Amino acid sequence: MTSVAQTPLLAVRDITVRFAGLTALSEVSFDVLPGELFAIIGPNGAGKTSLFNVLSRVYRPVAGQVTFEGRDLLRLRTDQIVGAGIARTFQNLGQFPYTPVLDYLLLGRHSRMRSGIMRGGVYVGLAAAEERENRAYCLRLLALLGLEPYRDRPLGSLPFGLQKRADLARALATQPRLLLLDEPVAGMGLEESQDLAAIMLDVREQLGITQILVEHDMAMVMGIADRVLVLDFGRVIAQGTPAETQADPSVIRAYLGEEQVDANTGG
Amino acid sequence: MTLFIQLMFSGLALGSDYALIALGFTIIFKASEVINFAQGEFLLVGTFVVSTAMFSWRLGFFPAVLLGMGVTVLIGVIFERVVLRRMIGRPPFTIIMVTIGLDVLLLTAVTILVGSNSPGAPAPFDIVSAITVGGVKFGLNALASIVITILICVALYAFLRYTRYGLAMRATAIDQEAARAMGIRISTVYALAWGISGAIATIGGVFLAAGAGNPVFDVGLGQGALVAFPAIILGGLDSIPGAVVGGVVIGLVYVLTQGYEASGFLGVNFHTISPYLVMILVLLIRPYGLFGTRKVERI
Amino acid sequence: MSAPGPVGSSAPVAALLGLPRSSRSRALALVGAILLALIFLFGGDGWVSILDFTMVAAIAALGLNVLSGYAGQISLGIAFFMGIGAYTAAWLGGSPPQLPGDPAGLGLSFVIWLPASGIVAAFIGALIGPTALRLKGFYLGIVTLALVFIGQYLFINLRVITGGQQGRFNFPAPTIGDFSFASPNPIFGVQLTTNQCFFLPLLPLLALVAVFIANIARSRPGRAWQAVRDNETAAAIMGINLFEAKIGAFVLSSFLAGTAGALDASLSGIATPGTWSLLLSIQFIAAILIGGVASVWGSILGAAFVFAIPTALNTFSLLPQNASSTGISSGDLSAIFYGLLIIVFLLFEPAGIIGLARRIRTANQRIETRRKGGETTTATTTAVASSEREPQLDVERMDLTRRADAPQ
Repeated sequence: MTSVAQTPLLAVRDITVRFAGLTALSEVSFDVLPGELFAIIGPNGAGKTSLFNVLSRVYRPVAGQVTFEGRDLLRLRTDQIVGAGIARTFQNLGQFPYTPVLDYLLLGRHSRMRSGIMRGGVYVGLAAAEERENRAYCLRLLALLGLEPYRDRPLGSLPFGLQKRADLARALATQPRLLLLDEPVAGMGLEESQDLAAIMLDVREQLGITQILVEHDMAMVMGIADRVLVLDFGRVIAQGTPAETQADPSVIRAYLGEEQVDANTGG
Repeated sequence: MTLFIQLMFSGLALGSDYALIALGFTIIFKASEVINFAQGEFLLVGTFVVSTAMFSWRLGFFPAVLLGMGVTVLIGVIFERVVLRRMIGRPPFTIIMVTIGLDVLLLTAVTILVGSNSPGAPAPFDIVSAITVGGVKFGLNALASIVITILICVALYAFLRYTRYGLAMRATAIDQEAARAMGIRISTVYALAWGISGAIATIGGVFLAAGAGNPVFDVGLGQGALVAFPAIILGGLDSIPGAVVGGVVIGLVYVLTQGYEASGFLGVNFHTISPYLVMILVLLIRPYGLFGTRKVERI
Repeated sequence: MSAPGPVGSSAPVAALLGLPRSSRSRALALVGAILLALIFLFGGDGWVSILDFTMVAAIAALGLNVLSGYAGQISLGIAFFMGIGAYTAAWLGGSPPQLPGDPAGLGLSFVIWLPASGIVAAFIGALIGPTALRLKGFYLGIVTLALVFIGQYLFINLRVITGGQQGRFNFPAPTIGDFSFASPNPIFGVQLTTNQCFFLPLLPLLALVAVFIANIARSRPGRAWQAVRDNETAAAIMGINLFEAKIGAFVLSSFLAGTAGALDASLSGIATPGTWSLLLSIQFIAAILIGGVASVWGSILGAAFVFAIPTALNTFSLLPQNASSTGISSGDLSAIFYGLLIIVFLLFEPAGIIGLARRIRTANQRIETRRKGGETTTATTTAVASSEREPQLDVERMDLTRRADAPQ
């Protein structure tokens, strides 16, 4: 379907990650094209989150390359990734329970703001103007995502679904060109999941932001993703459109195996 | 050469005291990931009780030590039960701070109780008694502290290795959730850790006080025990053999610099900072100590 | 724990100056100001002296709160940086040696030694920071503990500057022309005591520091500090440069500690190595924990609590007679008190006195709103948002409201 000539936005080549002898990822390669909604799926412990941790420079791969818009991502520090145009949402929330929602979004604006200690301390003038502008931006983003009524509430006091949405808003506030969504609907009810899927489709159609999502929920992935990458035990076992991967025998095997594991450990 | 052997011996003796103090930290940290800043004052309280029991109540050395151990075990277990139990899941910062609060309390309590008339320092032998071999004086208290430390290490090893509770403690240290799932009562493990640590603190404190050669009980004992911090950092917070090795190394560094600083070019009191300088050097090279384990970031 | 920034204030000028916004806190501030004025004018020299020392301590407590409260980096090293500031001031401002054994002094003006004491401490902080801040939590705590001991060693041994074990006495006093802040002076015909003279520059200085930090707290660097405190890895993923955030807090904290150390030495006229001990660091930790972590007012209240109360008990022999005869000093008594309070506050109110106050206030508000029949505040917030100048940004192109109505 996708044209062959199109240059990928993100190119991942032969990424291998090891922890103390344990191989978390083994020679993983894939391309993500501009505007795509790309999904990474796989059973528990397949290496999905490890892969995200490579893309956001939390884990250092022992081998391989990652290029984003022709730029070598592995040369950047963790905090420079946002500036390069990649934002990420968190799988587990609760890191910032006391932060008010609006301040949380402003954290997303951090890399687009300039004030340091001196400017911030003096406040009057440059810092005040910058705060005003970015607050306005975040407030509109909150309004767009229906989070306005909660702007001063500490994140930890919100229901889980709204926290996830606030986290997505924070990632969008960075004005990314690539959005990494780490299990965006995990722990959500059906209705909340559908809301979020709708937002993701809007983000792609209306903002043209490329998205990679790591997800457990097969039904959701198959419904909205353009292409799917399937990981198992740190290896790529299949890659293609949802229909293609669903029919792939190795994928079916991996998932059947997972169900047995799930049954043994009780979920 | 005689001076060197003398210093090596004193260093080993002091190092064994530090090893005991360091063990106290490590046991608590391994079991519950709590850094007990008040460990130094546990030493102080224990030694004060022993001292009072010996000199005011005329108890013998051994009953007095048992009494001291009883008090520190009790304080440790009560503090764990009443305060720390409620702080599970709070950030490490908060937990360290709460033990600093306990540190202030214990230190001040002992300061007030001692008042202006200090009791004598407790020791198993007279502080000047020693065996002299080839011009080197082997103090009996120093010898005793080395022997006792070795005995405690062996006992601790046997306890962790061969008893049910020791196994429970090791399992909890590796994976608390899994240990709980296996039916281990975490609260028992915590209480045990604080109890053992409190008991060791009294023994370490008595030998530290005896080793200092000061005939009078000194309220600064807990402060002196802070040198065990470089020891546990050297060893890595979560390693029991590391604590022992770190303690001995720091003891040697302390005594050797003290012995040779008389030459003067390093100024007064250089030995008070030499353990910290060694620690900083080690941390520059290995941020998790010599035997410690690095944690993988999870997000 | 994190201080919510003043959002959409009705009085932007007051907000810019960091003035209290609600009428209740304005009334409180007024009462405080009147109380200060009364003590200053009629309280007598003893009380004014206590005020002076408390204000100096509050500057250092603010410094510690920047590093530990806002940025979450454990530090036991504040006493070290205060000592550095004190001896820098002593060396630059102290009178030149009269006798062969006297410590060195350059006799410079306070316009030089006061900022210099902060800058030298900040510079040393900047030297140590990169190494120390690679370490986390407890490790950082112990390295800063080591700083205190290294400081003790240096302060005893660098006699040319510090005067050695017994310390040095020829301390600089801030002077403007003929007006010395460290001796009795008349102002507009009113005869002021030494402590009253000192009070005059100290109060605005503390106010300046407090407003500066409150401003940082509600802007980009302050948010970054608090994010780093709450979760380093997540903060880095959100685009915060951990090193920059931590080193900034470390250097600013050292600067404030150095300044406070210089002021303390200048005020007391003496600096001995024993002053800059571990105990002092622990007292400052107690101050911010009891007053309020990551709170400007908390730092000031905490400093007053830990440093003013024991001195007040001492100066005015407020202790019962039998207590002093049994050998309990006011220092011991207050140590018991704050040791206990650290534990109690951490257990039940981790945000300190300020958190307690905030809790009482919200409880009151809740009672009031219930009485009024529960008005919501959303009306005012939307009004503010729409009145802002709106830069054209790409979210404008998006219409998500259709599908993304907030579930109520």
